[in-house]
Amino acid sequence: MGAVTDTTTYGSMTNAWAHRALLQRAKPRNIHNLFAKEFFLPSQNTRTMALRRQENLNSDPVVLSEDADPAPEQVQKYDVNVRVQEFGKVVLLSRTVLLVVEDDTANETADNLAQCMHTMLDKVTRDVMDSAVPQISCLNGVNGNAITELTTIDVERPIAYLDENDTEKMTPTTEGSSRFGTGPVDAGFWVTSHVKLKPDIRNLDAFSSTAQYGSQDSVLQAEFGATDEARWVTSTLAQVSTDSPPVYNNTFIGSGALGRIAIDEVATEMIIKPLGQNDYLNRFQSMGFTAWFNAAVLDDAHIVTLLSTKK
Amino acid sequence: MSDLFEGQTMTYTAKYVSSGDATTFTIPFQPDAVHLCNLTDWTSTANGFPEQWWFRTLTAAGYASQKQVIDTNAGASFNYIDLATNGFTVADTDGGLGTRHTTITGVTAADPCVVSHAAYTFQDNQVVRLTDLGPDMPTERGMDEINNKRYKVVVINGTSFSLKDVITGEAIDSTAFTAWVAGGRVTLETNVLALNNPEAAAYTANPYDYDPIDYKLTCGTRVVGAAAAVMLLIAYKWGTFEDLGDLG
Repeated sequence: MGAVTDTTTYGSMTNAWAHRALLQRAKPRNIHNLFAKEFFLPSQNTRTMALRRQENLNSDPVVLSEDADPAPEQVQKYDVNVRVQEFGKVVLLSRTVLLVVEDDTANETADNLAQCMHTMLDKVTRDVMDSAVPQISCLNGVNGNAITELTTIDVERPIAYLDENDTEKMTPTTEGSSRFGTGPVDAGFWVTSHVKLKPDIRNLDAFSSTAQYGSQDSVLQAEFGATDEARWVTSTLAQVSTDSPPVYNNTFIGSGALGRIAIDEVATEMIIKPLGQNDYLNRFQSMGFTAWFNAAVLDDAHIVTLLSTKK
Repeated sequence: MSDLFEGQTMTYTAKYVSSGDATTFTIPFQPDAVHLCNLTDWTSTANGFPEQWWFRTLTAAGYASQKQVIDTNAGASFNYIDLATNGFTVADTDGGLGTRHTTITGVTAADPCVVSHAAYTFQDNQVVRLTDLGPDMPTERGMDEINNKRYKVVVINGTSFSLKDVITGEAIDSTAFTAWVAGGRVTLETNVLALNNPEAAAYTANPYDYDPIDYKLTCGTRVVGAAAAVMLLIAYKWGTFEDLGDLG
């Protein structure tokens, strides 16, 4: 047989055919802003919002005498000031990329920026929570660390903290249904936790996964399951320390505990400028976002972090 | 810490008059090299250091290379000195929010109740919340009565304060409380001193400010120049860096 023309001497002109559809990006679950009450500053005004609540009046019974008024009680207030800050990111794309790259770079980058913005603001709220929320340690576990793994007794302590502070629940009771293997779920507080703690959460008494809920109507995308009066959402974004062993924040959130503040109209803005906005030869385009934002603990009586390590 | 500007070439220049003391400079990017020029001592022959260089990749603490003119007549005669102390020190900050937590190291059963804590700067009348005390743990920690509650503080020193009621301002008498055993945490609830009242007094705002990541370099007394010396700071950031390796 004569010389065979094969791909060693006569190969394809290209090494690969680029699939135009980009592969899916990993998207972390943004869980920290889910439970914050939203406030807006009007534009053309200050960047600081002042929020106020009154302290409860003393409700000890006061029997009025017939001939005299009771001593007046002075109303006490508690103020929280929150200043919004501008967060942002920008990406520059060259015209060459837009001309020669096969995929839809600009569209995908816009989507990537939107994801980045939500995650960035989620991290701000997470960091506010880590900085300012009261903390309780897990101590009843058996892993030998000073702060132990999650146990049922430890999980009861933040719930007791919230109960003792008259915290309102965040979720209503999920009623049971006739579906086999499902059941009702108590009205509860939300708990933000790290995905690495899922095995420890699953080991808690009375844990039921979301699949066992009587109804799926109110299940969050990041929700893992429920224990007594606590519904757990998990994410890779949850706070974990750099200690050895790492300490994880499991933050129990009740009603009215967290706030997020933005400026009306320009709360978040995606800014995409066409080629040539800042160069003579139309060779660069910019894409980015700005977000006027901050988060605050509105009342630390209604939020508490349970610190734990991993089993 | 993360480098927000990785892969971008940048320069930053600043001229300043030295105080003679160690000085920390904030540079708008994470520098790979800093060149300090002493314009006042540029031609000095009397122990002046016209130039100093710092490189991020040379990691010895306080490392700096100085070029000292020792013979101006010779024109090209220099002496290079490697500093071990008081040279350059990276002082980058991670950004984000500072912690408002500290741990309890003791609580007295007294009037007023005094809480000892790991070093943390509190100010009088700030509101704190005490947690992680009480009985619900393998070894009871005591002071059940103050657990999970809010108090105003009266600062005694950097590691202790006494408690008073948030509303009435009366000192807390813990004489009859369960004795403290171990542990406990303090969370600073608000940075606002006199709870915000701008009509009556200046108020401390912005307790939740998120600090940016700052790239800082401290220039020690050996490199910062003598007092009143005019200095030029030039910071560089590499874009792409090619290591050409052994060309022999």
